[in-house]
Amino acid sequence: MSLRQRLLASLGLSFVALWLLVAGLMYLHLEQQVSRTLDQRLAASATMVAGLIARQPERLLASPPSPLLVTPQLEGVACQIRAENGDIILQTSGVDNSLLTRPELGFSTRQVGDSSWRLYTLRQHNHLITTADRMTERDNLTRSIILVMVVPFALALVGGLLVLWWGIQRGLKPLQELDTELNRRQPSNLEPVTLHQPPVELAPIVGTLNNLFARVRRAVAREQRFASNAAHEFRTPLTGIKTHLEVARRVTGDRQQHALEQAGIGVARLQRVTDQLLMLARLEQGRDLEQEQSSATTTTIAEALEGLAGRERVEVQGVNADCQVAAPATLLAVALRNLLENALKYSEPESPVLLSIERTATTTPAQIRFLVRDQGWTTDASSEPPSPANETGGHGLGLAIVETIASQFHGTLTASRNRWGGMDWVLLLPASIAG
Amino acid sequence: MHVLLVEDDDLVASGLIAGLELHHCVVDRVGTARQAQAALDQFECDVVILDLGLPDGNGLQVLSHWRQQGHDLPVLILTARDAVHERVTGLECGADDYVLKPFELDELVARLHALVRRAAGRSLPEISHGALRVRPSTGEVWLHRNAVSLSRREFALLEKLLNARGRVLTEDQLKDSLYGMDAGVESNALNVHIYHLRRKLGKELIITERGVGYRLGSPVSSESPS
Repeated sequence: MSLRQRLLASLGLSFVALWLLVAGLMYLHLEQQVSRTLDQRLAASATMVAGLIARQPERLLASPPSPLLVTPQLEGVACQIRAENGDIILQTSGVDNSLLTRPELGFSTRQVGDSSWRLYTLRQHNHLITTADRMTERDNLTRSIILVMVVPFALALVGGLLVLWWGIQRGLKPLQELDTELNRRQPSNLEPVTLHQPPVELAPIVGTLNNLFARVRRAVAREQRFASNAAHEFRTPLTGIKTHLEVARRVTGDRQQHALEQAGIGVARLQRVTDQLLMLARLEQGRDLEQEQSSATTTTIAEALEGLAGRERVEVQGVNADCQVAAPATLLAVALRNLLENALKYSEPESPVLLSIERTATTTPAQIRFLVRDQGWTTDASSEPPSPANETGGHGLGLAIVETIASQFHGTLTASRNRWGGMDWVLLLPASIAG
Repeated sequence: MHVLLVEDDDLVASGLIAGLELHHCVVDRVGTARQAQAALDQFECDVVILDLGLPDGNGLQVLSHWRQQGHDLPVLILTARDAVHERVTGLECGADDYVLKPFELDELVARLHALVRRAAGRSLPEISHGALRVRPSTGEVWLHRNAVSLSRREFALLEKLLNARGRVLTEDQLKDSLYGMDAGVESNALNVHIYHLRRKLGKELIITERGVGYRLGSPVSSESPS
């Protein structure tokens, strides 16, 4: 059941039930009140007659022996004045005699033939004054009064239900709009949801949805970039291998030998890319992490620089035997080597690359800051500064590994353009407690 | 065919150079966007193989730069990036073809020849000039239906003259097609190759325009020599 149907059913039923209850109570109260009012009118009539007698008693004493009959202007009303001895002094005409004989004092109800009557008898000196209303007229009057009340009541009930329906429709319109918007969009559409004047209550939902869409969009873009980089790094050595093998098939002697050697270099590169990819997968799953969580920067840097192509361009500063990093030595060496390879590749062939290490005590816990700085290119063709996720930053897999190592060991990797037009890569890792 | 190869990866570049030279191509290689932008100002070539991921910039920027400068030579993008939008962007930036790594060497060479052929306004894979027939994709040459053996540079020189269709080419243009950026070439090397071509294919094939350069001569009679 939809929210609108649920709201309409619950509110509508409650509304109708409440109104019916009120109507029932009003009906009962009104019926009693009308009956009481009519009784009071009966009593007032009798009192008024008694007042008239008290003012002119001589006119009653001079009355003839036979009862004086008067014709009432209304049907269904009767009146009788009786003497103490039982003689009827005055009576309305057209009334059955049994109605007014031996009346009880005060209010009473008497059945005469098919009709029911309401009587009121008052003793005034030596006279009994009785007034009567036929119940049929009283009931008609009650019904008329109730009908007058029911019509506007029913109209108000129907109007209220219509207003309720309209209000719910209007109130739920933004939800309906959101529902339509979400149903209409393709699964691949990760653009933000836009609603026309969303209510305050929906703003957190729309905000959360849009944040989620933005996160998914960024994650998808990152995955696509990573897949593109990984494909590039697999295909490049594969292309070298394939081309050299094709050449080797068509030539002989030294040229064939050279082509095969080149293909061998390509195989080694391909193996390294594969190893890097496997390492990244293991790191992301958190498996096979070394138990040893502390490494000395001196030995780690030596390991990172060993056999590095372009080693002579790397200038190391700030190596201190006291600097202990809370990360396994092997992984830290891989991270630094990847950063150095990236810097060497994406800068002038003869320009220096700086690797500096610094312990920052301003943070708690203390951190070790590795800075890898290159000087870029003299004429820089690229205008956008690269980021770890930006392919122009270089070795996609290598930087992805550095990022993963940093996040696994509570560190960070940041990149910024430096004043020489190159890049500053900063790897921050917590210092080990022992260090 | 004189190819400018823009490729930063040494392994891929060395394989491509070796493979293209097997197909009678003269190859000049540069490894950065900066060198690539300067290359076309220094010498002429018939076709460019352009890698997109260069260390100092994007190959597409280089391509746009060339097109803005009015270079209309055919460009083939050779890249490992296979996303559709990247291919579309490459072609929209002015590339004439797009080949993914890894590739088949023969297919790549065939595509290069097709690009050069179309740029020269030809539709057939063979060039006929009277009794002379040349198939650039295989490096084969026939004169009066007899196969003629040419060295790689002689073939490149002949192909350059045939593609010029009688237009006069300067010595520098011809040297570029033979040696590219190789500045160490001896001054009379071009004359030596022209001499060999005339000896093998007839004196009338190459006409010397004194003080200007060389052009292709009138078609050699298709009748067999007596």
